[in-house]
Amino acid sequence: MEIIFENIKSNDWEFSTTLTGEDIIGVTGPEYEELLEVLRLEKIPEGKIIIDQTELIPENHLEYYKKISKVENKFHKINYLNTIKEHMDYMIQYYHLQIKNIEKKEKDSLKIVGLDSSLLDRNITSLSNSERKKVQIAISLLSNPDMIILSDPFRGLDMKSTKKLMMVFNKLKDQFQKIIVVGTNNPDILYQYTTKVLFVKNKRIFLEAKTEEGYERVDYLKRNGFCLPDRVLFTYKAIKRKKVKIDYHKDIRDIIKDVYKHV
Amino acid sequence: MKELLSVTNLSYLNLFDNISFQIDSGKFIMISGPNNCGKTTLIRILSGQIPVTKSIKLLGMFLEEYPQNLWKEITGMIIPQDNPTFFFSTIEEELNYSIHLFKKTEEEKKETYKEIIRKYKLTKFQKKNPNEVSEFIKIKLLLAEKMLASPQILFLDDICGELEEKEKKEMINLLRTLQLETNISIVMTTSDLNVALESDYLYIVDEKQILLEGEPLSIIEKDNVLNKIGLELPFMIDLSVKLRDYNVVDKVELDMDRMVDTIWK
Repeated sequence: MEIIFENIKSNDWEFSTTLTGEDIIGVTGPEYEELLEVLRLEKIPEGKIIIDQTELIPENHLEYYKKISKVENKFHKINYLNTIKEHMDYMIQYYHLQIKNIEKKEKDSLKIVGLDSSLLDRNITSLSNSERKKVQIAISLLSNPDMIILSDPFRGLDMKSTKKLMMVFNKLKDQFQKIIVVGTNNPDILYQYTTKVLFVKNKRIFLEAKTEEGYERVDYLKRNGFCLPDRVLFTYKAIKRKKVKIDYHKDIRDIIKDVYKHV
Repeated sequence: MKELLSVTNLSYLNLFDNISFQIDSGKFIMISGPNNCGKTTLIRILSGQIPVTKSIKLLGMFLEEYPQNLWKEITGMIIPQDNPTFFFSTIEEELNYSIHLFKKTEEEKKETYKEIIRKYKLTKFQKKNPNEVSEFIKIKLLLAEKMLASPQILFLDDICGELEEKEKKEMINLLRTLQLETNISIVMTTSDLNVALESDYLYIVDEKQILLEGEPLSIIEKDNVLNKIGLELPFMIDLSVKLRDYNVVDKVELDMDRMVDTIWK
């Protein structure tokens, strides 16, 4: 799966990028939410968009709108929507999704995110924080999207839940060929869990790089106001101030080993 | 130091089994634990939203013994997960309504309004719809409204959970200021140990028990227990603790520059 955005212009944004299902893509910077909105294609921007070799034309824009799904952070507040099933049914109607066996699709969506299909009749108010996030993703899967966009999905989650959610993303990427885009201003999360990052600033993609390569450009990122992961900063300080020859590592145990070798 | 709240042999469903602890007045207490360990439920119980009997004493009296639920006047509670909604269409109207419930003269009302706007940094948001602003502004507004009633104890459920790192810091500073000014006690839950480090006293809850309690720094050093229940140690603490095991450093160091200086003298 691949989506090419070529010379896109929308709401003062200007950029080109290619997003593929090979990466977990992070988006960061003060205006990352805006870029997520543009990627969502709610409005058809100027420029060329090619989704899996087919160019997006205004006439079939709404069809593509279903293929790109933005995971909501809050449930719709509608009085008669209580259970997960009701919320799912509502989304199916809202987007006019053509689904033969609705109940099966709903149960399958829950299964993909690692939830039991018996949850379908649970009231959403009884869900825990991490269950809510998974249900929101399950709802977004109903339209069978090619790209799933998430805004700060890890907020409020502890390490264990973060890792579990990350496993869901990797499964969607590897088994279902989805493109996963995660917006967040938490550099530690991006550094540890994404493989590619779009650093955005002044309505442009300022830097697009493989996560590790991107974050190793410490001076450049600092100068431009981006936050850096603590583990990168520590290694940077050791290299810069003490001229120690240690490498950047994602896993703290590797950092410790490297430090131990060099004291 | 007087005892403000005491919990004795609290058991609730399959979440808590016989837990006890006391909270002294003027303290900033945090309760941490992994997702789904019952933090929110505990806040609901402590604040009386979920009634229990013979377990929660406020100022020496069981909650259920207060006539007409008068304990509510001593306590304030914020649970963002419940999606609190505001009735007015601007923050200015919303605040002024709350102020009018507690202040009498016009002068007092004006003065209070000005002070709140300044202290809670709401200047830019006065004309905004409180239901449409960011989580951070909503929580500050709720906090300002709760503080008008001059409670002696505030129960805050994971109010930093949805905030950005910078906002978390500002929130903690704000709470510290409020505490210094009014000597209020704060009981707050969080699953972020970086936030928990800022407390006076920390409880770690999981598996129906209080697993650990004490000064936050001494608790957060216990990486084995915390990692096992799924909490992430702040990087500098994790690094310190692990380097200490290798005898590279001898204590926990939170400052990165000092840490680098200690390792490579």
